[in-house]
Parts: sequence; structure tokens; C-alpha cells
Amino acid sequence: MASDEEYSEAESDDSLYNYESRNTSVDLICPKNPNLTSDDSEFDIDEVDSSDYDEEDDIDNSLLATPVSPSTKKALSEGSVPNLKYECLTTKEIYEKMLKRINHLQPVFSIPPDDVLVLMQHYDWNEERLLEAWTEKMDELLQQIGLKSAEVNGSSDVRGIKHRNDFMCIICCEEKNTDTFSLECGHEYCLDCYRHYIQDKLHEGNIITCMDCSLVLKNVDIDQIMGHASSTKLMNSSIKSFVQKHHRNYKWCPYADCKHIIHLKDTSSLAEYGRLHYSPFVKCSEGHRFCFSCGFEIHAPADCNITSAWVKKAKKESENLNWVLSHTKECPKCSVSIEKNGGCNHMVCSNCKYQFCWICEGDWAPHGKSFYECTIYKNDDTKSKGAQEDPGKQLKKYTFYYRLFNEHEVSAKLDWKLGQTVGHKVKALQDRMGVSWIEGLFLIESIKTLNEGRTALKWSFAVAFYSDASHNLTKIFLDNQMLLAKAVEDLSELLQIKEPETIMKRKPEFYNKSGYVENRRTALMECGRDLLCKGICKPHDG
Amino acid sequence: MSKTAQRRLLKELQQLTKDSPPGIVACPKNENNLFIWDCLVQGPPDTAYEGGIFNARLEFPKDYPLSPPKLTFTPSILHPNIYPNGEVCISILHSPGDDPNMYELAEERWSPVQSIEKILLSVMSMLSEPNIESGANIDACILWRDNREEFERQVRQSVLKSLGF
Repeated sequence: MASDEEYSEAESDDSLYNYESRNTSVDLICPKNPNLTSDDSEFDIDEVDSSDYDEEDDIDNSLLATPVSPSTKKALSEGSVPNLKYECLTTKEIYEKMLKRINHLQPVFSIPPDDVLVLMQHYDWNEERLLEAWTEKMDELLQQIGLKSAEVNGSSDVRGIKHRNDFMCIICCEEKNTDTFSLECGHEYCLDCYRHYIQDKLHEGNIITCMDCSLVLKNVDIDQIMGHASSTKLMNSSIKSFVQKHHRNYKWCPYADCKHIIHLKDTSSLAEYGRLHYSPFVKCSEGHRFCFSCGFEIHAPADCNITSAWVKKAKKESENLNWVLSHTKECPKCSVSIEKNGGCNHMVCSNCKYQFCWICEGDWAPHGKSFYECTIYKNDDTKSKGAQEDPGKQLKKYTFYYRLFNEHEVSAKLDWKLGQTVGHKVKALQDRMGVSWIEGLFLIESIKTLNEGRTALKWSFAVAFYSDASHNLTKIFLDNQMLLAKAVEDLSELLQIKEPETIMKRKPEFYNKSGYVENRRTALMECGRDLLCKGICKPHDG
Repeated sequence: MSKTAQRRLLKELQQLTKDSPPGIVACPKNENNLFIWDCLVQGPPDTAYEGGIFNARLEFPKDYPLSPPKLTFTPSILHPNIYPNGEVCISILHSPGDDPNMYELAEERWSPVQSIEKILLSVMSMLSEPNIESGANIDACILWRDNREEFERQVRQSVLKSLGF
């Protein structure tokens, strides 16, 4: 470990590694326009609590935050964005906030909260516009939206459910003794028809009106007609469409079946992040991390542009590279087919016991001790530097990096599966070794570090592909990549151990290796960002 | 729901046979299937369509009257709001959810209180006043806007052809 620490120290002294992160973080923490919410007219549900909130206070705080603590620096280099203020919400929470907002506004309008809700829905929760319209033409607005009947003498009918004998409903054309519903407009239909009508509209998320005029059915009416709380369903679809309409501030977590919504209050700093090639990563309460800009998984050290170029290219080339995706390889010695079912690249053929590297299919022995050579694309023809690389060679280079990318993606999936079973491992430790749950947590932490390391490594191949190979920094990047690859493989191998006794015996190794992966990852991220900032790595149609 | 649709269609048929507005004839294609209707629409007077009798087909969904029917002219006629395949595009045949921009007023949209009679009356008014802002047949839109004479000439010609002259 001593040598590793030396390395990272040497790194920070090296001018090449001076990533201007200090300036960067100052910029980020003290944005040019600290009072950002004011010019953003978009609905901000959080203003609920801001009635007695001092704006100056906020500015002072942001100025005070200027000195960069080491932890901030680390967080920045991780690609996460410490001062990106966001919150993770569920539809229920959004609904509650909406209700809170409505109760807050209700005295201004002096109409029932249900009516305010309809008004707000109609104005897409843009309070400013609503209040403007309200002060200008209150009565007209109520009529236009359908909260008030247009006919003055329309008071003869009472809103609600009535029972009628021999009622002829003009929708279903049935004459029967039935319950009916009508609003003040007197357009009366049987309850069955009304139920079918509402059922049909619930998923659209729009305000539901009378079937024959624009008078609005409020949530209480809907619940009364349906006989249960169906209006919540309407509110859910309404919130869904709200999130879609305000996609700049609200994003659904892209993970399958995850129902959380990330609300970013201030999007103005996003451009700044893009300029500095940071990606605004957010994390939902389920722990899913994704990039708020492009909705992709964590893709540091690559930025959003490199990511989208890489993904597009992968789609384009996928047919040429189908063979890359095959999951089996033949043992280089005895040619038996081998499927990789664990995350580590150190393979032992179960047939002939030959140890080899999954990536280069070479003997494992040189990998174990010296640097992990498999991540370097060896440019055979060193003389042709400066000139445009010919397409065939470009494809070869791409194929090489894509293959590595894919290997690590597959490995990451297997690691993830490993992570699913880690609970059992910890349990086994508890049962067999008498270790407490807290003490066993290091296993879970290690898996997490491994996953993060592998994701960073995976995306670093995209950066490597788009980088100018002749530049010195690219070489440093590749060195960093190699070191991380080695660190990740080591940790991955350690995590393959199944016997609880061995795991406990080698516990310090888990700590050391995880810490090392963490350090290498941070270094690679910074180096990659530097490549991007200096324009050495940029997307091109290679 | 299908039962409701049948009952409702039967009722509308009774109403239409008893008292149908001038220029409109509509009835089910055959007695066993109430969900496909044949209609005849007369070309409105003082328009290029005057004198023409146009055949159209109405197809009702199983959840009628919650969802609107589909109206198709067979054969198609040259009109800015009729697709080349004969399908008619007017607001009354769209449910309010179809138009996220709220371009069309809610009152003009489909709702269960609309009826076959109202649809066909709307079609007649559509024939006399095309709405080129939401056109279905772009060529017809351009012709109608830029060269009304040629448009009317072509319409008259097809009217004569449809009548067998």
C-alpha cells in the first residue's frame, strides 16, 4: 500500500495533475446569479415554506461556502455535484405539497380549496400567471374554466346525486328507476353512464368536465360518483403529466420499476456543469444514481456528449460487432467452451486448469504481478502519427475499446448479482463466525466500491476511444485506466471468496483494496475530465 | 358496454328515421351489425359540392358513446379536411384528450352527448367551410388557398363523375 500512497502524492504535485478543481468548485458554489429561483417562473412547490424566508440569508450562505474543504473537492472529482440542490419525491409527496400550496393560497382566492386545485391544474401550477389572470377577470376566469355556470338562472339544479323514477338517460337510452348525477348546469345522466365516462378519463390526467358543457367535475364530485377515492387516481395521472411538462426540473428515476421523482430546483447551474465537463449525477431514495442531464446511468469520467456519441456509435456498429457480444470463449489451451459466470477476469479452465485472462486470452501469470496490460490498445504503426487514421484502423480501435466496454458491462452485471447475494454472505459470517452485522458491513461496502469502480472503468473506455492517442495526457489517462483496471480485478477476485473463515482472515485486504479502488477511480475521473476540458477528448464520427 | 352501445345506436336509428334533418340519410349497413353504418350526405347548396350525393361509412367502437365513431367517405372526396383515403378529420370526432395543445375548444369535441345527427351536420358545414388550419389533405389545402377556381373545378368534375355523367 505504501507505494500506492506515494503514487497519489506524486500525482498531486505533478503539474499535469493540477486540475484546477479549486477554481471550479468556487465557481460552482458561488454561481453568478445566486438568487436563482426568482426569475424562474416555473412552479416551485417548495415555495410553500418560503413565506418568511430571508433571501439575503441565502446569498450570504453561498458566499460563506467558498473555501473548498477536502471533502468537497473529493466529491467534485467523483463527478457528483455537492451543491446541486435536489430532492427525491414520490407522487404522493408531490400531491401533499400541492395541497399544502393550495391551502396557503386559498385565502387569496376565497373560494373552496377544491376550486383552487382546479385553477392551479388549469394553469399548470404557474401561480404568477394564475394570480395575474385572477386579479384581471375573476368572474370571467371562473366561467371560462368551468367553475361557475354561465347561465345566471341555472341555480334551479343542485349539484349531486338524485334518485329518479322512470329516468330516461340520453347516453345509454335506458328508461329506469335510477340514481342520477348532474352539476348546476342540469345536464343529468344516470350514474352508470357517469361512472363509465369518468373511468375513461381518469388516466388522462386532465380536468374532467360535464359531458355536455365545460362545467368542471371537482374531486369531491368524482369521489361521490365513483363511490370511492378515485380522484387520487386522477391526481396521480395529473402529476405524471405535470412531471412530463416540467421535465427540465423534474425527472423520473430511469431505473425499472422505480417510482421516484428527482426535483431539481435550480437548473441554471446545469450549463456550468456541462461547460466544465462534470455531469450532474443525482441519487433517488432507492439509491439509484443517474445523470440528471441525459438520464443515463453514472457515466463519469465520460461527459454527456461522449456518452451519447458512444451509445449512438454502439447502436450503429452493433451489427458489425455481434460477435463481440458472445458470452463464451474457448480456453486458449484446450479449446473447451467457457462461459464467464463471475465478475473477475482471472479465469481458470475447469477442464485443463489453465489460468488465463478473459480479456486478452493470454496467460494470467504476467497479469498478476506487473501492471494489467490488457487495457492498452497497442498502436502497431507508430509512424503514422498526426495523419488521420484510416477507417479500418478506426474500426479496429473502436472494436477493441467496445469489447473492453462490453466486458466490463457484463462483469458489472455479474457483480450486481453478486451484490444481491452479499446479504447471505454476511449472514453466513454472523452464523459461522459470530461476527456482528455491523462488522460484516465491509463486504457490502466493498461490493459498492467495486460497482462504482467498474462503472467508471467501463465509461473510461469511451473516453479513451475519443481521445487523441498521441497526446501525453491521453497516455497518462491510459496509465490511470490500467491501474484502476488492476485494482478492480483484484477487488473482484477477493469478493469471489466463499468461505467465511477466509473472508474474515483477509478482512484488512478488503479494506485496503477497496480504498485503493476508490483512490484510483478518483484519479481516473479527474484525469478524464481534464482530457475533456482541454479538448483532447471530443466526440467525432470515427 | 357493448349492450349500451347497441341500445344507444338503436335509439339513434329510431330518431333518425322518424325525423332526419334535410340532406342526411343514415342507417346500419345490415340488420345484424349495428356498429357499421352507411350514410349519404348531400353537398351543401351554394358550394362546389352542390348537387353531389356522397357516400360515407360510420364505424362505431364497442365503447360508443364514450369514444367517437370513425367516418370515412367511400370513395374519398377532394377536401382539405378529408384524408386521401377518405377519413374525415374534424374536431367533433376527436375526444378532448387527443389534443394536448387545447387547439380545439372542448365544446367542439366528442362527448357522449354528441350524436350521429350532430356528426353528419358538422360534416355538412365542414364541406361548405373547410378549416385549412388543421388540414388533412395538404395538396387540397394548398389548392383551396392558392387557386380556388381550380379547386372548385376539380370538385365539380368529381361530383359529376360520381353521379354518372
